[in-house]
Amino acid sequence: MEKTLAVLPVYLVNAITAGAIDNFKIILLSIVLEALPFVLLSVFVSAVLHNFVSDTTIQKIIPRNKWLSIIPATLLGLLFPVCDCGMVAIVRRLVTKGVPLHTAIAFMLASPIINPVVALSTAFAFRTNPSMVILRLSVAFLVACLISFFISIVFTRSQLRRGNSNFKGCGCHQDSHDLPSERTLIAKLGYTIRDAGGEFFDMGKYLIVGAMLGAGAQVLLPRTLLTSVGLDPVVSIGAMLAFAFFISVCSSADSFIAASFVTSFSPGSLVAFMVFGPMMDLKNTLMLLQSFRFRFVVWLLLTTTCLCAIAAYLINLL
Amino acid sequence: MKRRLSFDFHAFVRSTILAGFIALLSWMLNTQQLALYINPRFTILTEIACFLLFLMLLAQLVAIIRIGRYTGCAHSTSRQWEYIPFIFILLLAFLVPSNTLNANLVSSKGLNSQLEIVENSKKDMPRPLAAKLKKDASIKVTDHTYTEIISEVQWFPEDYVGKEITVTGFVFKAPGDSSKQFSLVRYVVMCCTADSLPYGILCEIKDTQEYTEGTWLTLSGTIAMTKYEDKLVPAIKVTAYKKIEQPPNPYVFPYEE
Repeated sequence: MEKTLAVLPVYLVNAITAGAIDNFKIILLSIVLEALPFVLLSVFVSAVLHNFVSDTTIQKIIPRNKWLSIIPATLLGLLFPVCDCGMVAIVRRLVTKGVPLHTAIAFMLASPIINPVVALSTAFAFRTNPSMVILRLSVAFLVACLISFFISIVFTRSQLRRGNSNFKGCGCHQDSHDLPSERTLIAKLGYTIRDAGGEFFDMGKYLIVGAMLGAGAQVLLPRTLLTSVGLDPVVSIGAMLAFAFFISVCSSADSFIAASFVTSFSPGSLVAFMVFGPMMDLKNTLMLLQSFRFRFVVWLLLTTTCLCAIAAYLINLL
Repeated sequence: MKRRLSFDFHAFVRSTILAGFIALLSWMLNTQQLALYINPRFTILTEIACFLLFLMLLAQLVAIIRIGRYTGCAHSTSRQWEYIPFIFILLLAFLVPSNTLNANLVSSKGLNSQLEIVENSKKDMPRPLAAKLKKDASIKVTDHTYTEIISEVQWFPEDYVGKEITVTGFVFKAPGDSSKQFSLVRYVVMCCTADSLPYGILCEIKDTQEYTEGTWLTLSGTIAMTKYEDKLVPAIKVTAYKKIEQPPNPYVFPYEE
């Protein structure tokens, strides 16, 4: 490991070649092309929520009891299989509409993992080892529930950043809570498209910057840096968490990457990879920073990392 | 407030970017280039994305020029630098010639055959193709069967030693290869090329000097065990080979019907 780290700077300089630039372009564009439809769909969902569903309706649906709202929120992905790429836009909207922060975050963390598409693809990737599917889903459920519970204790306010650029409206189109219901259907549709557009530009830039960093990491960092620590029960977990954070791949594809490491990595570290990646990756963190307070995002990132690491360590002990 | 024409700079830039993305997506859809980036089963999502972008473009276009009361609100407090990432992507996509992942990335991604295999993880492997492959005297690898056949040979070489095999892929030379060895590799793509994994098999040939890394070959030979870095590993002893152009679908999309 130390040897690999020592040669890393030399490796990086040598790695920047014409071939590497080609590969960078391809990987960057592929992440953007893959994520674009999901981001677009979610900014539309967010805009529809804003223009068609009143705050009071949403607040009425959500149970007052903390656990009664957290647990259904983590399982919502079973009904709406969503991808992590677009989650932040929806979560931000839910929080502005008065959904408690812990409920919205429970939904954001769990639904990219606890959904039928991801469960099936994980089962397929780990045909040899079905217990990985159960481990992935149950660890995701536990981590999401615990984090939401902590949030409900630690944070009392919405944690949204003030002056969320164009998001909260600038006062000139009277985006107050009560207005949408008075508009005609056509006007509502018009506003929906306009709001979706605004949010697309808000979120899209972070998606692109995140994809750039992810593509750079893929092209420049040698995977031997990872495999050299694969079977160490502790270091392998840290390596896989960092790997998941940087490569930013879809939650339905990451199981295949994890499966390709199955012979050379500890099982706990692979579960950590498949739970942590969809919950927190580079592009999501950038999008979260755009919407929520810095302190809250850092807290969320650290807590998720710790819980995933602990879960992975326990799995390795079994 | 005076009635006058007003020009909304933000709406103008946004319209241009949205039009650019619509052009990019339609270009990729029409020229079949999308499969160089994402798995074709996501084509429908890209079409939906095109439609949604078009709606957004309409909304921005009507906002560029407004007649009448201008309230000074540009629907956004976005600073101008925030458009740079979008413009960067569009320039990159249109100006840098399209290419496919090259052999350069194999070493940073790590080849399947260089991962260590833990013996006890083998016994539960499902082997859907094993029964048929064991019967055949010669094996022809297609795009559809690529991943399964390559892992069969990699994991259970004892069942296949002595059989004829025909494979297509590109040449990759690992640091440990002798001058007569190289790997024949394909990138396997699940969702998008960001999750691609290089999948390959070791080949032995009389002389590899004339093959630069990345050359596409269709080769046939016999499966045999050979010595590689003090280990016995499965390899193809090449009997015949042909240089070919890069196939139109360079990536393997496994488990596609």
